[in-house]
Amino acid sequence: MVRLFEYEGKNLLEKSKIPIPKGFFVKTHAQARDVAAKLNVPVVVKAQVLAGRRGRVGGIRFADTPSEAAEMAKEVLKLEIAGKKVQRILVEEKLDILKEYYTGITADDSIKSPRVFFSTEGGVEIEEIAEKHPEKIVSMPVDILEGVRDYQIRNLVRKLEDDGKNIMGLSNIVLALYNRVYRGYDARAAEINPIVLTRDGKFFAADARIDLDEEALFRHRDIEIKPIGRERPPERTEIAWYELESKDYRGTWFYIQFVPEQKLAEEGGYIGFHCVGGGGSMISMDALVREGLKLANYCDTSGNPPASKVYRAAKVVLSQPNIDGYCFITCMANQPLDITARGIVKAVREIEPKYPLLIRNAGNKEEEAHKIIRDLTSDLPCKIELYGREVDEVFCAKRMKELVTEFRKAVDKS
Amino acid sequence: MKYEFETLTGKITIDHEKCKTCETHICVKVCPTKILKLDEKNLPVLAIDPEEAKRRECLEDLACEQECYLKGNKAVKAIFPLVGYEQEGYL
Repeated sequence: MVRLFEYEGKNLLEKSKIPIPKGFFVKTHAQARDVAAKLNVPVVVKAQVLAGRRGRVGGIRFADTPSEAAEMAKEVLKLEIAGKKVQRILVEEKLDILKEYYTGITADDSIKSPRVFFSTEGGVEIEEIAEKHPEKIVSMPVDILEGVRDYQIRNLVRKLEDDGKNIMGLSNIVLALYNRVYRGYDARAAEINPIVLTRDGKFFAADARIDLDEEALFRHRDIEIKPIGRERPPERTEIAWYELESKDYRGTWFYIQFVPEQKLAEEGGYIGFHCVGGGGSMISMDALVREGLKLANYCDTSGNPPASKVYRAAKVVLSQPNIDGYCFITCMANQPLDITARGIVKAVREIEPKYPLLIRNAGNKEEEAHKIIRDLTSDLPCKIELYGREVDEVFCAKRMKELVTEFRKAVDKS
Repeated sequence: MKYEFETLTGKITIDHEKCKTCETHICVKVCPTKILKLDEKNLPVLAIDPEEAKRRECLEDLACEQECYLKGNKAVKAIFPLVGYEQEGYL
């Protein structure tokens, strides 16, 4: 999932013909001053971080003049909100607010369909409204195949809003949010809070919170969003993963760097994790963590990837500095594990790790996979333990813990 | 005497000098899509159009490189670059 910054979300809304306040995304206080001068109206200076409740911690400030805008921007750029340093800001025209509304769309797991929400209490966290004034929120499920019609949205809005002109204006926004943003851009969730009605009768999306399905980003090159490097410079592991995965459609490789490589190098005490099967990986990770092991990364190569992809993935995991072990666990895999084994072996032969490796191949062609690994690593000094379906994830986690403990003792002694 | 062809994300190089004394020609036998053949000098070369090999016929499964290492003359190398990492790629 990729969560968009507010300015990115507003970009999507504008493309989707949902009105947004005039504004610009900037990185310095001088640029903020220039934008305020260009807009020539009072402005609001908003921290762009992926965190809520920015206003409560001074991340949203108002300015009547360009020099005030520069001052506010300077202050906002010094902030750290929810552990995230503010590195960019949105400067936009201040709206003359008459009323605030809320709309949001998300997937409702209980009915396996999207659900559209609407409230006449905008500008406040929707969870607060749900708790204190549940009667002020209405919602409707949407048949994913049928979609939603304009009259259905009007009927929804009409449950809480009386004014006919407002019903039309709000419904148009809610409908556009569903059709053009949520469905059009493959969003997992889309929220406008608040939709502002100004004193001169216009509607604007004053904020935007949109989460996109990162697996669908390739379909939306017009918005140029990458899932890496969004709040911090990407690690080399993430760059390698992203660059390959965006070009090689065969199978899947998913990677997360939990611990920055610099921290791994300085502190140590982590293991590299590699799996086949996203669901099985959750079980494996839980088992490893229960044994007190700390994972440096997450890496999954599933969906029948070629050996070249598995090789690259394994190389990334194995190359992490100062790790104490490599743990590879498959679910009961249907992808041919001999192919996967060839990829792992190529990486192992290249890196020649000094730490122990535990490899559990269970499923299609596990015997062939074991033969490949045995034949092609017998001349290496690496300690490799091979297991198949006869053991489970819990056993693997316990054994990994033993191997890592032995390794650390040997390293401490030397 | 290097022979090479591109694959979808890398390339395969074959040291034909080493192949001259190979008795198994295992690379040809082990390729699942049978894209290699022995030429008139008994050296492994592509049996198909190089563009087809690159587009899809070479599966990048590493069987040629690894079986050549085990049962041939260690002539085949599969090179798969990775952004940000040193290029070794040799078995």
